[in-house]
Amino acid sequence: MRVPLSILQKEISGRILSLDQVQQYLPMLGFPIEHIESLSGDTLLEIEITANRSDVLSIRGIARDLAAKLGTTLGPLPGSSVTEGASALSIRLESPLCSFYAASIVDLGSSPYIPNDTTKFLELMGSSSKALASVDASNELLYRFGQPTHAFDLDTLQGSITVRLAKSGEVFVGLDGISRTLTAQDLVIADEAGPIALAGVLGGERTKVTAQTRRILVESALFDAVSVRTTAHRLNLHTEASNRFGRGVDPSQVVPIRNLLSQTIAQWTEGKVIAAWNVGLLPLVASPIHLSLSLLERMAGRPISGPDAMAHLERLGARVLMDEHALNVIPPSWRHDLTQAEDLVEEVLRLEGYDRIDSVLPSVQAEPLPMPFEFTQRIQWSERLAHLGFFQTLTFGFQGPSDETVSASDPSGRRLSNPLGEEYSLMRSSLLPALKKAALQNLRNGQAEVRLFEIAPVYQSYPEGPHSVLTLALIWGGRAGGEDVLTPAQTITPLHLMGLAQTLQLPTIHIVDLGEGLLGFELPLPSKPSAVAPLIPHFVPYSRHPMVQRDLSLLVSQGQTYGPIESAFKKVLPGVCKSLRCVEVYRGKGVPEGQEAWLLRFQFQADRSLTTEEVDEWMKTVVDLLPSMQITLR
Amino acid sequence: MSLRFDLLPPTIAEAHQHFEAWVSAAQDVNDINRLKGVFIGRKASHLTLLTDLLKQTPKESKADLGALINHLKMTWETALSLRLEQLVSASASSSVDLTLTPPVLPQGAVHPIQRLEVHIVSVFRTLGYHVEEGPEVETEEHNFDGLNIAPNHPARRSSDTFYFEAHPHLLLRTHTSPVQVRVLKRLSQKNSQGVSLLESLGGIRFLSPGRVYRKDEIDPTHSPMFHQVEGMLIGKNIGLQHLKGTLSYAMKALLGADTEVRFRPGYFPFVEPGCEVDVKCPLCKGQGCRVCKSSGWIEILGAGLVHPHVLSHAGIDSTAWSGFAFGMGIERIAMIISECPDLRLFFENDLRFLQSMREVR
Repeated sequence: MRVPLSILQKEISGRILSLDQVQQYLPMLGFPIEHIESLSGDTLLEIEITANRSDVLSIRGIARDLAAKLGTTLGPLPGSSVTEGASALSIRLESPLCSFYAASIVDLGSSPYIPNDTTKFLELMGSSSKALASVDASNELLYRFGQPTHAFDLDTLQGSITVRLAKSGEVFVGLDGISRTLTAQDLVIADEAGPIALAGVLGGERTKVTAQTRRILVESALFDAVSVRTTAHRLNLHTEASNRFGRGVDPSQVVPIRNLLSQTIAQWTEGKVIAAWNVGLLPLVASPIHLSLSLLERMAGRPISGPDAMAHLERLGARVLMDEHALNVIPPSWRHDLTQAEDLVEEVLRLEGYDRIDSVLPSVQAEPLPMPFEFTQRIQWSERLAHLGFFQTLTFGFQGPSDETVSASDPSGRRLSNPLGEEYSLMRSSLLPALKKAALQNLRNGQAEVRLFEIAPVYQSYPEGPHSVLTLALIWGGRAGGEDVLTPAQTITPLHLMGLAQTLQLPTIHIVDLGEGLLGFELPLPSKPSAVAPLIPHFVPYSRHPMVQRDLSLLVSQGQTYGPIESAFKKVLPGVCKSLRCVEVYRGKGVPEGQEAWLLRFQFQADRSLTTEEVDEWMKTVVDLLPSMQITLR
Repeated sequence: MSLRFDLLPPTIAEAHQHFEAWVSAAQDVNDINRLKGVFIGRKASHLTLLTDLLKQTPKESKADLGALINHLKMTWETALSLRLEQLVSASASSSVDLTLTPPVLPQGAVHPIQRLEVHIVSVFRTLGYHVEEGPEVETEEHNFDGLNIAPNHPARRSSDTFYFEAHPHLLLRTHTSPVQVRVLKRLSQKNSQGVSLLESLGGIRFLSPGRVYRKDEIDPTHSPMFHQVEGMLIGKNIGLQHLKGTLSYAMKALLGADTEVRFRPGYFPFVEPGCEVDVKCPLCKGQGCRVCKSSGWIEILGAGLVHPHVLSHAGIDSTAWSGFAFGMGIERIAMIISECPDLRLFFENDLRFLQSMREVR
C-alpha cells in the first residue's frame, strides 16, 4: 500500500506527524515499511499490510491506527451538503450479495477542472489522472478512504437498473475493452440491455464516462466480499475495487462517500447534484464482545487496567462499556477482523506496544517426551554416511512419468492435479532418479568421484491416497583415488558398494547400475526400531589368547568365483577360524596363462593357546580339498 | 596367580633377562629374524626347548610351567613384531618425501539445511521440547480447517497449493502447522476414566521440522519445496510473555548471544494475538542495508498465542488450556546465516556448494 506522507499528515489533524514517528510506529503497529522514497516533493511510503486488515487499504485507515498510537483520534470525514430524496431511477437489488446501494445523479457542468493536488496525488499512488472529473475524484476517494465507487454515463443506460447474478454464458465487455463470459455466480449491475458492471470488480465499456458525458449515475454500494473475491479470482481480474470489496469495506462510509464524490464532481465541473437516494439496508451494528480483564492479563503477562484498555479500544473507534471485571466492546464498523475477545487483546497490546510485554520462560511441569525413532534414525544415518565420505542431497519430492520404474505402484494415485510441469507431476516412487541427475551434473562439472545420498519419503499409491515410506538412497560412482602418490586410482565397482553395505551392517542390498559409471541402492528405513538397541551393548568376553594367522597362495582358473570356495573351506574348518578373506588377486608374470593367483588369509583364535600342530592340521584339511576343486597350491 | 620364573632353566632365564635389550638393539629385519630364531623359532629355539621340557615335568608343576610358557611366548612374539613394525615404518618414512601430496581421507557432509534443523531441534531440546513429525500428504482439514483458515482463503487455491488428481481432498502440506492439529487431536483423546491425554501429561511442548510445498516457480527466493520448523507449547495460563521469553532465548542460542530480538504485531489465522519476530540485521548490525531493506531488522519467524478455534477444533477446552506456536523457514535462516543469496543452491546438490557448506571443525 502506497502512502504519501503529506496525505497521511493531513488525516491526523491537530498533530504534526514526523517521518521518524511514522517509521518508528508503523512497524510496531504491524505495518512494516517496505520502501521509502522522495517523489514529486513528497515522501512516498510503501507499507506492507496484513491480509486481515481491510480497513488499512486506505490512507485514512493507516492514519487511524497511527492516531490511536499517538493517543488521539481522527477528525470526521469531510462533510457535504448533499441531501437525500426520492429515487430518481429504478434500482432493484435482486441478490442478497448486494445489501445496500447508494446512488446519486450529477449533472456535469462544462468545467474540465481537475485540481493539481489530485493529479499529483494520483501519480504518487501509481495511477494517473484520466482528465475526467468523475473518474479522478472516484479514484482519489478510493485511495484516501477505501470505499470504491463508480460513475455510469446516465445517458447510455437503457431502462431501469438491477443488481443481480449474471445469467450463465452472459457476455460482459469491461472498461478495458475485453469481453468476458460470466457464470451464474458472478454478481452484475445490469440495465435492461444487459450487464453494465461486474459488481465490485470492473465497470462496463458501454456505459463508461467519457469527455462527452453530460450526466452521471454515481454508485457507492456494499457487495459481498466472498462473491467479489471469487469473481475476481476466476476472471484473474484483480482491481483496486475488487481488492477492497473482496476484503470488506466500511458500511458506515458508503453514504458519506457517495455524498462526497457527488459534491466533488459537481464542484470541479461546476455542475449540480440532482438527486441522491439509497436502496436496501445497511447491516446492523455488530454485537458486543465480552473481554474479561483476566483474559487480558493472562495473555499480556501483566495486569492492564480496565480504563487503559478501554481508552485504547475507543481510540480505535470501538464503543466500550466497562464493568468491574470486563469490557463489553462493540467493534467499529470498519473492523471486520474483530470478532472475539482475543482479537481485542491484540488491539490493546498493539497500542500498548509489544515491546512492553515481559520476556519470561514458561515453567512447565510436564516431563519432556522422547524423540521419535524416525527422526533420530534419519539424523544418525546421515551423520554416519557423512563420516564415511558421502554428501547428503536435498531434491524435490516430485518426479516425472519418465522417471518411473516398472516396479513402481500405479502412478495415477500419486499424480498432482496442478503440477508445476510434467516433470514434477508425480510424487516420487524412488529417490534414485533425482539422485542420478545430481550425480551426473556433478560429473559434468568435472568431479572425478561422486558419493551422494538422500533420506526422504517415497510414495506408494493406495486406494485412500499416497502413503510415504522413509527411504535411504545412495549413489557412488566415477573414479576414486589417483589424487595422490599413495592411493591408486580405481573405478567404483559393485564390490565397493558391497563393502559399504557391510560397513553399514545393512542386510542384503540390491545394487542398481544406473549407467555412466554410477552405482546405487535404495532401501526403506524401518518405522520402528527392530529391537531395543542398548546404547552400550551387552558385554561378551573375547579371547585374550594369541591369534594365529596363515596365508595360502592358490592358482585358480580365471572365471572361478571366490564365494563357493570360501564356503567350501569354511565347511571343513572349525569355528576357531574367525576370519577367512581373499586379500589379493594377481594375474600376469609368474602365473600361467588362463590362471590367476589368489592370496587367502586365515585367522584362528580360541579361548586357549592354539598349537602349531593343530593349526597345521586344519590347514591340511583345506589343502586336501584343492584337487577336487581344480586348484593348485602356488 | 604369579608366574613361576624359578621353573626356567638358567640359560633361558638369563636369555629372557637380556631379551628386551636385544630387541631394542635390533637395527633391521635380519636382527629381528635372528632373535625370532633363537626365541620362538620352530627348531631348537628357547620355546621348543621349553615345550620339550614341559613333557618331562612332573604333574604338580606342569600347569605352572605351561602358564609361564604361554606368557613368554606372547611376550616374545609381541615385542618382536612390534619392533619389526617400528623398523619397517622407520625405513619407509625415511624414504618418503614428506613434501609430496598426502592422501586425504574422504569426507562427506550432512546437508546444511538438515544441520540447521538438527541445531534448532537441539536448542529447543534444552527447553524440554521433543519432535513430532507429520506426513507431507495432508488433508484439507489438517492443513486448513483445523488451523482456522477460512473455506474461501486464497491459500487454498490450486494456484497456491498442490492437490492430488485422484484424491481431491488431499494436498501437499503448505506448512508444518498441520502437525499442531494432529498432535492436539491426539491429546484430546480421553481414557476410560474420562481424562484426556493432555490432562494426564499436564501440557506439551514440541517441534515439528519438515518439508513443505507451495506452488511457486523456482527462482532465487522461491522454491516449490522448502523446510520449516513449527513449535508449539500448550499449558495453563500461557501468555505472550512466555512466547517472548522462549523465542528470545532460542534466537540467542541459534544466532549468537548478542542477538537482539524484536516482536511486532503480525497476522496468521491460527494465532491471536499474532506476531512477527525480527532480529537485528546480522549483516549491517542494524545500520540499515539492502538485505534488511534499510530497516536494520530482519523478519525471522511468525508466532502467536494459539487461536481458541484451533484448540476447540481439536477438541481441547480453550478456556482451560492455552499456548503459543511459532514457525520459521529453515532455508531463510540458512540464507541469513550463510549470506547465500540464492535459494536454488540448496536444492541443486552441486558438490562444490555442499563442500563449501561443510561443517567447519
